Amino acid sequence: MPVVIPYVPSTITVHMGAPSQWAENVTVSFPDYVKNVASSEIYPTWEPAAIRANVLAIISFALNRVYTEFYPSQGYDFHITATTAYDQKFIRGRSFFENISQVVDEIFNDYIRRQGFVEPLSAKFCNGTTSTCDGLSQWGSQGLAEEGYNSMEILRYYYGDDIELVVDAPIQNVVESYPGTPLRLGSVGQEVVVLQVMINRISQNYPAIPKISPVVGAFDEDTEASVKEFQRIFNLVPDGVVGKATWYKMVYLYVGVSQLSELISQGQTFFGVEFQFPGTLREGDTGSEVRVLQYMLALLAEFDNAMQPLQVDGVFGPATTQAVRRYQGQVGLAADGVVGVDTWNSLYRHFVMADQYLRRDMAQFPRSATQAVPAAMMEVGSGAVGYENTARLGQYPGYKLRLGQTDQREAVQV
Amino acid sequence: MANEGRLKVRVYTSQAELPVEGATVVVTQSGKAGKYTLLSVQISDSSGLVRPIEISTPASNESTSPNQNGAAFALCNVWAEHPGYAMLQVEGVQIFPGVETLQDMELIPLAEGQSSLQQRDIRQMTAQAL
Repeated sequence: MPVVIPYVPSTITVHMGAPSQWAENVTVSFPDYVKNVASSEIYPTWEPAAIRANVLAIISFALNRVYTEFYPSQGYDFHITATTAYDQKFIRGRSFFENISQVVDEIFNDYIRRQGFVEPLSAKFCNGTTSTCDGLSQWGSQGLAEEGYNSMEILRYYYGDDIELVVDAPIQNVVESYPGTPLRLGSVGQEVVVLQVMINRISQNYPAIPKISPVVGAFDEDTEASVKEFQRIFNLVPDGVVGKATWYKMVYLYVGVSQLSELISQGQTFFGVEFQFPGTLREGDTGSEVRVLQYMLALLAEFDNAMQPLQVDGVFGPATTQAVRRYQGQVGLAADGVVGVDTWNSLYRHFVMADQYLRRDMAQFPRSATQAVPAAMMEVGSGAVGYENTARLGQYPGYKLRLGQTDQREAVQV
Repeated sequence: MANEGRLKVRVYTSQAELPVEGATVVVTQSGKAGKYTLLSVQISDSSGLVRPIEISTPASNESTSPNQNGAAFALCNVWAEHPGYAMLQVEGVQIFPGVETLQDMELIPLAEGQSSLQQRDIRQMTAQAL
């Protein structure tokens, strides 16, 4: 789950037995793995469309195992097993069939997923005669291909009309989702977004864990409290620091509660990507990326008179350009009014910090959620709350504070 | 040409797939009462390859629809042996009509003093669960 974009691993490690049993681990290149499984599962004399459909199901299932870190998150040192009771059949050193091999070489980085979901479909299958299941029937696919169905029509027949083909997925070495260093109070970034999303989803099934809202990628006190509760429930050292053990326990539970590795998955939607650098933005651009940019600028402008207040409307007009120029001038970047990667990342850092401090305050931030929050962030976080509850004590109260002021709030702050 | 399949064998060593030249590649078929039929004996060339072998198979309709009584494919055994490597025997290699089967034989080098005929690796292939 936690790697946002699924990828094709350059190699895959296969366990030659049941997960908890001792057996050999074999590491092979991903295309060789798919050729082996396809040759072990179906007959090469079948219709080309049936072979293609089965190969796509095999690829998607294997990529789902890699993407969800199904076995690594349980502490195993392999990605998939060779046992049909758990995964799909792999026979070490077996022969490949030449026609299957050609199909695999052509499409080994394509897979299927449900529309709107990120994760590769956990495309289960069975032979359709001696065993039947909800997924694809191998003999059935051959029958449909003989009737003239093409490979996508066959897959839709078994997995539903809402599946789509993803082609040319990126190929890279196997990566661990764990960021490499422990996340703790004060950490900022994408990994923290992932962490917060996982905690929020897990807390639906474990209500004792407090939800974190909003999810912006800053490891604040609320996040720490939720992490500690998580660690307490799952018998980890409750230190509020997310090291490898805590991280993978979370991945394991997240994949479990959202059924990501099941055919009936609740689905992984894209999340958090709104705050990633979306590509260079300049005057004339429109869309949700511009909204995010304007929101960050507007929030910072609340605290800095040198910056320009700004309407969050999703249109990069002259006002936005001017605001960007002001910001660039202030932080010492070339004031060209174009948001490149340097400007974006600088803005993001300032924004997250400001946002984090704001939420420590207790008063309400009277900003309408629909205006301020990009739609995608609302569904990512915890429902309709959005930033409505963002605390605003640090904001200039609108009148001067002077000697003898009695209002508790401002006096205390000053 | 009808009801024949083709077997290609490639002999190599290590993950870098270095070809093993001069390996003896034997292809047999198990017959009745434990007898073997010899189909081919060849020496691998400088690319680790031998000439493709044609093997007769059941008709293609045996493997394209379920509930057939006959066998869906022919089986054969491939052995590869070269001094200095453990002998590899792969049993149950499937041959389908009109399909080319590629059998990779990865030989594992032996330590000094070990004989390739004593150190052998036998692999039994199982059929599809169809």
